[in-house]
Amino acid sequence: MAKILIVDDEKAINDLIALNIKMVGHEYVQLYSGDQVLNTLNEMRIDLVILDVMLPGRDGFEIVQDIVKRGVPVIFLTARNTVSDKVHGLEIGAEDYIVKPFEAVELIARIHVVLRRNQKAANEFRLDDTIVDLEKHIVTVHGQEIEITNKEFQLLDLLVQNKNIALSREKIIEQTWGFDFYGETRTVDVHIQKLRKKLNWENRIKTVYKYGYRLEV
Amino acid sequence: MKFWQKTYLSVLIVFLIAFDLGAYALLKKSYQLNEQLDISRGVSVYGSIENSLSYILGVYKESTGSTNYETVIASFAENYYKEDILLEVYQADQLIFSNAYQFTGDRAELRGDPYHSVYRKMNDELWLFIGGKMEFQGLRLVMSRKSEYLQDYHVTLRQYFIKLSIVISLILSAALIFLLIQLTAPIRRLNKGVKAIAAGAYDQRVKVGANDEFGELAQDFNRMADAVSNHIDTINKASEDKEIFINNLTHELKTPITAIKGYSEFLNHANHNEEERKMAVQYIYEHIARLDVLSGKLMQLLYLKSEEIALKPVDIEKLFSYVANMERHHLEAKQMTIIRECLADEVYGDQELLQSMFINFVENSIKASSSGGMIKLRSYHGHEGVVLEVLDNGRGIPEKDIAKITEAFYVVDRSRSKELGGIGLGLSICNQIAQLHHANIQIDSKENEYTRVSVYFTTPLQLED
Repeated sequence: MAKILIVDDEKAINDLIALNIKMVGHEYVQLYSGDQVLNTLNEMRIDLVILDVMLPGRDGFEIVQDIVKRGVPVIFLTARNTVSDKVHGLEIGAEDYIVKPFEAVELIARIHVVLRRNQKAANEFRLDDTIVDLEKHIVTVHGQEIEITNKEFQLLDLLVQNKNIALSREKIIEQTWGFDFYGETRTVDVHIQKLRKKLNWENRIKTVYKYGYRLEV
Repeated sequence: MKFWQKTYLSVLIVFLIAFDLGAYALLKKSYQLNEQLDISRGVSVYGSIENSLSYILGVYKESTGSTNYETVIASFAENYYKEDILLEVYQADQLIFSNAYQFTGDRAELRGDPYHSVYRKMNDELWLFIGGKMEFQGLRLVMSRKSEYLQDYHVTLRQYFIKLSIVISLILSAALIFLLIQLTAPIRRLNKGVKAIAAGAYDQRVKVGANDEFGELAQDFNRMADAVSNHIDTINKASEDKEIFINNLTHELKTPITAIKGYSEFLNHANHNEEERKMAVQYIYEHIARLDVLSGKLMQLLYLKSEEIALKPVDIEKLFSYVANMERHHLEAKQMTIIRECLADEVYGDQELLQSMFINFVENSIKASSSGGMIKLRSYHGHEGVVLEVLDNGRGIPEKDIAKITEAFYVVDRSRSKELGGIGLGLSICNQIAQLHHANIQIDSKENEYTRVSVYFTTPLQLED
């Protein structure tokens, strides 16, 4: 569980990011201008900052270096979509650059990548009698290690990262098998069935009618 | 061929022809004078020979009675032969003595006219022939003599003429090239400038030299370049404005779209509770409303851009009271008052557009003012026409923002402006309305003290009053 600082002057967008972060089990702090960011970083431990560029007070490009100096990774989330802005944002120290409008799944996936890269992500996930070691790729049920294929583990990882959020079959294929996968979406169903059985998660992995699956915690 | 080369060649050719003709005529005259001198010298020699010979022959004939003159003439001629003077003597048409070259052809000196002289060129030597009737028995005497002096003179003259021609044309060439390069320098400068400008250096200008035709051309060209670069600036400015507008519009559209998309996605796929559902729906509703306002304002702005309006007299007192009336709810909510002062009664314009413009100004003033504030609407005659003014004692505008405030989507304080429901198009619309009225909007403000918005109407129509 990580603590994420959200800086965006649009209350609606700020709340939206907060909702999605809460959904996958992280804590968050919300700020609406660039001025109090450094104070907040001094007051508490923050694992990641999601930063808008156009902010009242000091803007995102101005404060990013001060944040990075304190060893806190930054993801820009902004409506500025020119390549030069992206390059500039990444050059001055941001870990990632996401353009509005964004998709929740994408935002969360990128947050996890950054957290893991900075070793701030939890490397263990427990649910019922199942323990998933996200780093060593080991799954134990009732203390017994079970055999799991590489693809099944990737799928499990995706479900864990996006717990409580429904993932469409297309999204699952895109994230697990890649864009160039030409198989049928039924492949997803087969793998989900296997996971449910192996992990005893028949009631945890819910089918979302005509859409996809959701891991409910 | 370059202009200076053409000029150089033509001037050189014309000059050389004129010079050579002149020089030739002069030399010819000089040669003729020399020739005359030579002839008169020859004639006097001939005269003395003729006299002596006539005398000798007369004496010979009297003393011997013989008519065989040949030996007498031969011995006489012997003396002159030493002096390179050759003689022929004819009796009737019969040649009785000659030590000269014999040749065929017309011999004008034999016709008997006295002292008839002819020059002949034989074996590259110039000979003077002088002939005529002798006193003695109608014999005819022809004297011939080499004219070396005249021939040398001719050769010298010709050589001199050629040398002079060459020297003169060399000097002329050099002088001409120097002059032409000097004189055509402005053309080359102009050419260089034109090329640079044609290649896209629109800020470059040609150096204006002397006050001649080239100077005028350079000036005219610079004037043309000014006009072109002004046009290009205008076009660039317009396209920059358009780009800024589109960027801002994109940004302005993205926020509500991100919110609506994100919350609907959330409602659809996430495991949410009732409170979260209400919040999401509320946000979706708010942002749809914002998009609605945005599209309405945009339509108004686009409509205004394509509009041509008829300017009619508008009663300013009525305009102000209409605006105050329309805004009375907003004013009451903040316990604000409006004061009206009309020193000018009428302005030419479109009543509805002016109403919309002043409602916009007054709404801005209300948003900027704290409770209990006061707004003053004023009209007066300025130097150039009627001026309408809105003055408030609100928060004012920071100095750095004043210039940009009429740009589309520009808001001074974004977070506060959003709370107040602004999207940054109001003043942009007002500016557009002002342009349709040929009016200028001037904003003058001091932070936390006042803001004054003045509209200067400068149409010729306004000035007729």
